[in-house]
This record gives sequence, C-alpha cells and structure tokens, in this order.
Amino acid sequence: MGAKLALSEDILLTVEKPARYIGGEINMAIKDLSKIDIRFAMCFPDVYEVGMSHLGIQILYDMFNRREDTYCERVYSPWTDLDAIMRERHIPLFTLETQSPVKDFDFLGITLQYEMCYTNVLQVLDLAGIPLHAADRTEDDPIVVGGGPCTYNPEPIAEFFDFFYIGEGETAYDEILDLYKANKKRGGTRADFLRQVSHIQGMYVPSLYEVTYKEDGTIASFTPVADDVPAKVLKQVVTDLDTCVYPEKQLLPFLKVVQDRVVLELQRGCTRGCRFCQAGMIYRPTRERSVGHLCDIARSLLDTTGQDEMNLSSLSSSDFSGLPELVYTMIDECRERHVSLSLPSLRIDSFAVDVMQKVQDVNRSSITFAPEAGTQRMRNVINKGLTEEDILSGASKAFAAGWNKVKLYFMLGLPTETETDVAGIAELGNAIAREYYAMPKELRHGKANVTISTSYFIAKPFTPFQWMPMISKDVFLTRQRLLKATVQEQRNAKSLVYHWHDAETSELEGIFARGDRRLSEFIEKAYRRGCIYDAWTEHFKYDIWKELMDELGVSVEFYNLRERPYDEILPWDHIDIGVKREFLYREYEKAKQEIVTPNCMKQCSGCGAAVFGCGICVKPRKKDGGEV
Amino acid sequence: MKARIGFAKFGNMRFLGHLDVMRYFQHAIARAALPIAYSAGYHPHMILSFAQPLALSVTSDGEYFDLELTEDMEASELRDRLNAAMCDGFAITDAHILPPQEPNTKKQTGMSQIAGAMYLCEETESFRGKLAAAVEAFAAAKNATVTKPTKNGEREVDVRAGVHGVAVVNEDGTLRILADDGVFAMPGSLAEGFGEQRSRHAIHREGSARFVFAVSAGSENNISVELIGEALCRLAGTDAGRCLAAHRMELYGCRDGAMVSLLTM
Repeated sequence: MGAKLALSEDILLTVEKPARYIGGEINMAIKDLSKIDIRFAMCFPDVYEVGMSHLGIQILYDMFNRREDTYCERVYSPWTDLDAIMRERHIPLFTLETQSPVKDFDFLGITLQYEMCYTNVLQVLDLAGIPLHAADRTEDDPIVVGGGPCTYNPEPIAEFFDFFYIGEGETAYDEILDLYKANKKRGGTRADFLRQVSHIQGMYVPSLYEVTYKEDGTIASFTPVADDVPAKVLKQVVTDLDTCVYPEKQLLPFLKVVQDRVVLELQRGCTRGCRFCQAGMIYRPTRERSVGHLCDIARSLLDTTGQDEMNLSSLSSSDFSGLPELVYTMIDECRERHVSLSLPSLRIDSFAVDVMQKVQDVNRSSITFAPEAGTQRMRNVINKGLTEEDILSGASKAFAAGWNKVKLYFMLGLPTETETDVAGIAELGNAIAREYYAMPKELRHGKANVTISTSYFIAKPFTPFQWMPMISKDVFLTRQRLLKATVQEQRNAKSLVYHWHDAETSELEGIFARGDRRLSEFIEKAYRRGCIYDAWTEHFKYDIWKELMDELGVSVEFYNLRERPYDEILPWDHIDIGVKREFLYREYEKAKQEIVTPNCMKQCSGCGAAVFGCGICVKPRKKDGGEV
Repeated sequence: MKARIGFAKFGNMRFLGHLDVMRYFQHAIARAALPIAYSAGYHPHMILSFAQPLALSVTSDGEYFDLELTEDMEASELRDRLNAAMCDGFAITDAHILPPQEPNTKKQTGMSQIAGAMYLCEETESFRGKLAAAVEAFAAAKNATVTKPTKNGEREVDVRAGVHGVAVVNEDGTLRILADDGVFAMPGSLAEGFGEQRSRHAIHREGSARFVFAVSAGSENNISVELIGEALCRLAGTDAGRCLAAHRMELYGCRDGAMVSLLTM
C-alpha cells in the first residue's frame, strides 16, 4: 500500500499533480529504518518534474543506497499551491520515500544547478524547520551540504550551508559518511564533524574561513580560521568513469517529467575551451566511458525502466571518440525495442546527418547550431571553433537530407561585442536560409524556418571571462532591438524568427554568479518578501529584487559591469579546479587579442587539469574528420 | 493475439491520474518484455486500450485494458510476467485471451463494451455519520436530479434513473439491499465470494458508513460517484462537497439485458 502519506487526502485532491508528493516510483529504494545508521535527504530545490530529470541525483541516490547503513531519500520543492498550504497548516517538509520530516535526517544534501534556485533553497530549509543560517543550527538539525555547479562559487549562499562538496560526488561520500558515523559514536559534536570534513579534499566548510573587505567593496583577505583548515579547496574528480558507480536502475517517475527519458552519460568535460563556458573548465579533464561499458549500462537502463527514449548525454557528443560505434550499435537495438534515441549537442556533419536521418522524423525535427556569436571575429574572441563555412555546409547537408528547420543559439553582450557583431547574427541566419533556397525547388519542402535565439551573456567564475564586464540591461535591450531590426531587413526575413531571453533574470544571475558572502542578506530578504521559483518566469518577482538592491545597496555596477583587475581577490579564489588562474588569465588576454586556442585533442595548452592525472591529459586522442 | 488484463489500483497509487496510469503500463509492458504489437506509422505506439478512467483518489479491484500481442502466450504467463513488473499499488488480477474477432463485425474494445460499474463507497471524514438517511431516501426515490456541467453549459440529469442497485454495508460485511432492479447481481456480503474479492483493496476509515451502488456507465449514460454524491447532498440538505470516498469493485458489459463482468465479455 506504500508509506503512510504525509499529506491528507483532502490536501492531495486540492493541489495540482498530487503524484509529485507520493513517491513509490519504480526502482525507488525501500529500506528498513531500524537497520539504518545514516538518513540522507537528497534535494533538488525545484519542482518534482524538474528535479526528477536530473542525472546527478540518480547517481548519488543509487550510490548512497548501495550502502547498507544508509538510506537516501528524495525531496523536492513543493509547488506554490502546496507551499501555501504547508505554511498555513504547519506541515513540515517531508521526503518521498518514507514521507518523514526532513528535520529528522542526519544530512540534507541540496544540489545547486543554477543560481536562480537560491530562494528555493531557503524555502526547503524553512519548510523543513531547519534554521536558515548554519550558525543557528543545533545538534538536532541535519547537516546541510551543497553540491553541483553553483558550488564553484558558493559564496552568496555560504551562510546557509554547513559545508559544500566541491567536485564530482562519486568519490568522497563514503569517507564523509564513515567519518560522520565515527564522530557520532564517540559523542563528537556537529562542529567536530565539520572540522574533520574540512580535511577531506574538496570539502569547503564556509564557517571555517574569514573574509574581510576593502573600502571599495572588494575582498581584502580570505583566510582559514586555523592552520589545519586548508587555504585552498581542491575539487574531487572521478579518474576512471568505467569503474565508478552508475545507476543501472534509474528511478522512473509516474508523471511526465521535463527529461522524460533514460540518460546515458558518455563522457565528462569538454575539450573545446570556449571562453564563456564554465562547464568546459570546471569539468576538466575530459574523460570518456568505454563503448562496451556504455552498451551494458544502456541495456540495463532500458530493461529496468521500460522507458521508450534514451538520451546520449555529453557537453559535446561529437567529440566522443566512440560515438559512431556506440550509435550504430544502439540504433538497431533501440529500433527492436521501439526506443528512440536522442543526441543533443551534436555538431552537424555528414555523420550527424546520417544518424539523425535514422533516429529522427525529418519532417518534424529541427537541426541545431550554437555559433554563440555572429561574426568570425567574435567567435575568435570566445574561442568557439565553429566557422561560418562549417555552419553553412552542415546546414546544406541537412537541407539536402530533407530538413527545413534550423535553430540557432547566440549570446548578446559578449566581451568586445560591437554593432557589427550583433548584425552578423541576423546575417548568418539569412545566409543559412539562402543555402536552403539555393537548392533546386523540387528538393525543398516549403519554406525554410530559421529560428534565432539570443541569451544575455553572463560572466561566470572559472572562465577566462571571469574578469570581464557584462553589459547593462539597457545596452542589452538596445542590442536586442538592433538585432530585431536587422533580422527584419534581411532578404530572407520571412524565413527568420527571432526569440530573446528576458534580461532581468540574467542580471540577477550575473550578480549571484560572481557574488560574495554579503549577498546572503539580499537573498534571505527576497525570500522573506515572497520570492521563490525565481527560475520560473511566471513566479519571478523582479520588483522585489530591485527594491532590495536599492535598499541594501547591491550594486549591478560592482558585480556585473566593472572589469576586475588581475590582482583582485575573487570570492571563489580559494577553490581550486585544477585549471590554473594563470591559464584563465592567459586566455582572457588572448580573447582580447582575438587569438584562438586549439582544443585539447589537437594540442595541450597546459591549463593545469593534468594535476588529476586522468582523461585526455594522460591519454591524448586524435579524431579523424577534422573540425566541424 | 488479443488479451484482456484485469488489474487492481490501490493505496497511494490512487493519486495517479489516468494518463499516468497508461504511461505506467506502457513502461511495465516494456519491462516485462511482452511481445506487444505496435501501431503503424512514423510514431508507433503500443496497441493498448483502457476501459474507463478512474477518478483521482478512487481505488479499484475492477480495472481493465486490452492489449494485442504478436505471439501467442498462455494467459497465466502473461499475468505472471506483467505482475512481476508491478510496483506497490498495482496488481494484475486476471489475464483473459480474447477470441479472434469475427470477420465483418464491428471492432469491440473494452471501452465500447462498458455498460455498468459497481462502487463501494463510504462517507468522507467531513460527512461521517451524515449520509445514511440520504442514501435510504435516494434508494426509495423515483428520481433525483442534479445539474451536470457539459461542453455547452449545464444539463439536468436524473441520477436515480442510472442507479440500478443500492445497498448499505452492515458491520459484519453483509449487505442490506435498499433497491435492486435486477440488472446487476448484487453481492450478498463483502466478507466472502465476489464481494470479498472485489473489495480487497478498498480503504475503510473507522466510523464511516459504507454503501454499494450499481450504476450505468460508459458512453451512453455514465453515472459517476461524484454525481451520486451531489444527489445525496441535495437530499441531505447540506452544501455540496466531496461526501463519498469510492472504490470501484467491477466494470460490466451488457449481454442479453444483464450485466456481466467485462473480463468475460
């Protein structure tokens, strides 16, 4: 009959999609609590359908539950309808598996995938009845640990966490849990445990560091409070993806979730070195899984879930050396099983067109390019190794194979961007449409449909652009208008559609991305005034944030618009991703000079990631077929 | 080969909507690696046909869907393999191989055959102890109209005309029949036989009075528990509200004027 539900039937029949809150999914871990030493609540601070789509949680859930002494359960942000009911009736936040209060757990792990989830983190803590500030927690509260990409600069939310796990989760949790048990056994305190955790590679305990600021608002010093606390926190890295855990039984939600498919992670990291891309730096070095291992995992995933779609996931699938072998093996197996394959992040070349013809409906699907910038000059600045020729020849191959829909992704506000670069976006779109109309009429299928989307460039920590200014919201809007007008002026304007991204969310995201500890007050106050689900356009309350910026003196100029000097202490300088600061700065200078850096497959640029002794740094690989 | 599968839906799974139940079974069939037939076309889908959606919060011991297999299989093997793929809250109760369709006859799916349903209902918490008299009055009444929202506004419906049997469940599980027009075979007790089998997964909240309703269902005249509840509220003179918690005992088809289990249609 399942666990006794935390919510009454009346409440479940009042809220939207009650299946979000009942658990009981296929492949859910069920354990006897009387045999459990450690209870770990794993949280994705967004609604169920988003959280359940995330592979990282699936990996950690499976890994924790392989331990006999540990029971890992899941918790997601209650949607706004239930949020209101829980506050009104004082219902504590609960986990899905045993439907028990999160406050009863030993750990609350929160994955931080994007900055706009920060108020949801506070919602989760608040509904759980856990003090928002780590400093206010007692021995009865769970240890709150953060993980995921935002922990590479966790400073804006540092006060809300007991510690952050920097790097890949598969490696150090056993040690952490053993330490926790041992500490508990000898009657050690929360503070004792956190002190010991800080000695493990990758573990950052914010309360053990002191920050002072200069008059101009920049950091004067960032120092550990004691000698045994490391000054630098080196991230955790999986050195061999073939031997590390992979969930062979992924949880299968009843509801249709955002990523309604099983996920096969081909590799980690990316060799391209695009200068705006944080993932391309923090996940270095690039490491691959072997094709044999991937095929085994794929079969087991499909057998144990019955899913009808599988996603081959990677930052850049085309760079995965075993891709043709894997794809051609899996295409036939998937066809037999009536499973469709999806391959995002594929560069469009002959192989890609062949594969896509086999796995997609040519009439309905579109092909995607991410040139990110409209001119070659701008692409050299950002080190995007994709030329106009590559794009046009890829598009014309796809057109010849029957496609007529193309999606193009760009950023506005990239460092050094000029009006020519902005106009270049529209011109590139036009050139692609021209390729289509250059085909003989009998080969065409109606009108070409080229969609241009732009987002607002956000400078991220641990990228060569971490020192760069962003453009202001007003300039951004001017460039958007310019682009819109230029799109309309194009000869093939009727085949072009322009979509843009809202600027207000991005402005705030920029502040958080490179923010410091002083922002915690800003985030907490926004939450107190009703901000949650900021990542959802319909719930984003910019007026509250704006009001608080004025009230607290949170300066867009300071966080987003100024160029940071090399000798400024950045809020994330105490975190070490292997890639050296000097390398990033070299890339920053080369960007200004419009000089391209070859990707890791062609030549090592000595970024520093070789310190981990794995992946492409020790086993260089060559790929045929050149660059497309 | 075509087969009809009988299943129960219960416990926390009562909060799963109809679309999610269909998805759930598609995944379960794939996990069980059944030789399921797919439709033709560019986006083939499993050939499955579900009898009738179950409203949220309603449990059931009488759900059905039809499937088509590309290979012959024993009914028991079909049932067992599918059962092995179930999670807590679903159980496969029956598998019945359907006779091949006779040539030149209209295709009969589970859905189009539905003519009746039997529900075990009980008072919800807020209506506890308040419905007994209304049920007696309902059973004795010639008609009981409520307004039913339709695509083009509202419509008056006589709920009573679609209700063929009404009974009160006594403490010991036996049934006291209040009305029975003979169309359905009303069970004598929930403690044995059909009544026991088909109330197995019902939730019983202490102190709530229980009733059995045998009703018309399907495309022609579908009487939902909600409509009955509304009629009862009118009779009791209270504000409308969710007064009945329901459990579906069985779905029926009609053969020669009598209701027979959908499984054997």
